[in-house]
Amino acid sequence: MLDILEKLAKLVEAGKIDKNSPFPPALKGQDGADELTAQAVEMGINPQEILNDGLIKGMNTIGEKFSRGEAYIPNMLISAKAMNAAMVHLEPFFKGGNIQSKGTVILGTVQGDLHDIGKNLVALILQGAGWKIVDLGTDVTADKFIKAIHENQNALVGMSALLTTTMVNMEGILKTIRTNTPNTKVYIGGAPVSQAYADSIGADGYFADPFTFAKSI
Amino acid sequence: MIAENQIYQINPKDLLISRDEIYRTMGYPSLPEEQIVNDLEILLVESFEYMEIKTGFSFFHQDRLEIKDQSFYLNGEKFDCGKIIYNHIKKSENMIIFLATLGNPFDDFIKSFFDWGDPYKGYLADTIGSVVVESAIDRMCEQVSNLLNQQGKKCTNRFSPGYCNWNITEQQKLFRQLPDHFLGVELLPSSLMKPIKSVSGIIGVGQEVQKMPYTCNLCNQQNCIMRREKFKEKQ
Repeated sequence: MLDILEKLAKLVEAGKIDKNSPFPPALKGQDGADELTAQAVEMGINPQEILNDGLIKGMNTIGEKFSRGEAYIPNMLISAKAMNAAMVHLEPFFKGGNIQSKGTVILGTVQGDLHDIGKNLVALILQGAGWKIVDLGTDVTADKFIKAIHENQNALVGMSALLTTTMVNMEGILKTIRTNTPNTKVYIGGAPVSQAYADSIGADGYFADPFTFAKSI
Repeated sequence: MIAENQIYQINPKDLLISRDEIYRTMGYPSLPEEQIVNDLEILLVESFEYMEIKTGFSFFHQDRLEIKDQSFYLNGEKFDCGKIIYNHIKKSENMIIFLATLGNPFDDFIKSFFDWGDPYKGYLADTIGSVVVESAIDRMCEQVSNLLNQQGKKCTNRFSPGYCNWNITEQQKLFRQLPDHFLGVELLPSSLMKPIKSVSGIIGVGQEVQKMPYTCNLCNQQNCIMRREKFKEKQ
């Protein structure tokens, strides 16, 4: 049982999606994360273990490599693709309550900003770490954040901005959230954002990359 | 004689797209894995189908330009370009404001990958777009530079708001100096351009100016994607 989960973790790390994926060349023609997850389910392995000890472990490994500068964004995205292919087999267990997510994170690029690639990466990595994501998209107003917070009790909030001109909108949105739901944890990120800025507006945290975020919350 | 306002339409197939620049923009210090290289090549060809590349500029003669006190003025409007850029342009006799865009269909092309649940290809397409729009400007700069050389003038490096400590809000002023709806690019109140794959900026022109190495070490934007660093090819 351990072997198959360890192998699954390695397939996710390598980004081997399914048997037909030609990459990585060393694994050509071999089962990918898709087939192996189906096999693990058929073998009766606890779905939570498949998720934690197989898929999430693989994503964590590529994440650690990214943090060390040994892997890059495309590598993470290929791994996420492999993980998503595998997750299809675990969906019924989520719906049936056999797998518990770590919680919910509401993500959005703040009002005035249309950049969403960084925010999408954060969503993928958090999903890979076992979080449920509510993605509000780009140009998200305070009202949209508040509505999502009311619809998702105990959810955390992640705000993103790519420009110094839109970063300043974080402060107003944060104030509105604090007024409406003072206990909601709000984290910020994006190229112009820093820990000093997070401190200055009273955010609960700043993270430079999605893996540190996933590890810290 | 150089026109006051000029527009070029560019076929992406005529551009020299540096693969090394694409790899560098994605953060790779050397050649990425075979899969990524292959996917990029396929996507590059597909991307060209969606690009409607336009570049253009407005040329400002000496009577509309003033450079003093670490700033420059166009038609009397002050631009606080910062010390780094000022030192590059201070001997300029003329000024160019340029704009380049890949068009709306390419923005939609990038978005489609995210909508289909393939952020990997969305990210690759986004990176390709960033490199292609820069390459289009480089081509326009080369054409303009050749024209100006015939008049005995040279160009500075090109500079864009948001880089080299030049506040991005100054882009609003740049757009005020361009013809209305120039190249179909819209500037939002946040100073974000739409289409997103668009770039604006300035070039100084004169007999005494010159292109110089970018002084990235003087700028405080550590995460700047335009930061020039040595790219080492894998042996």
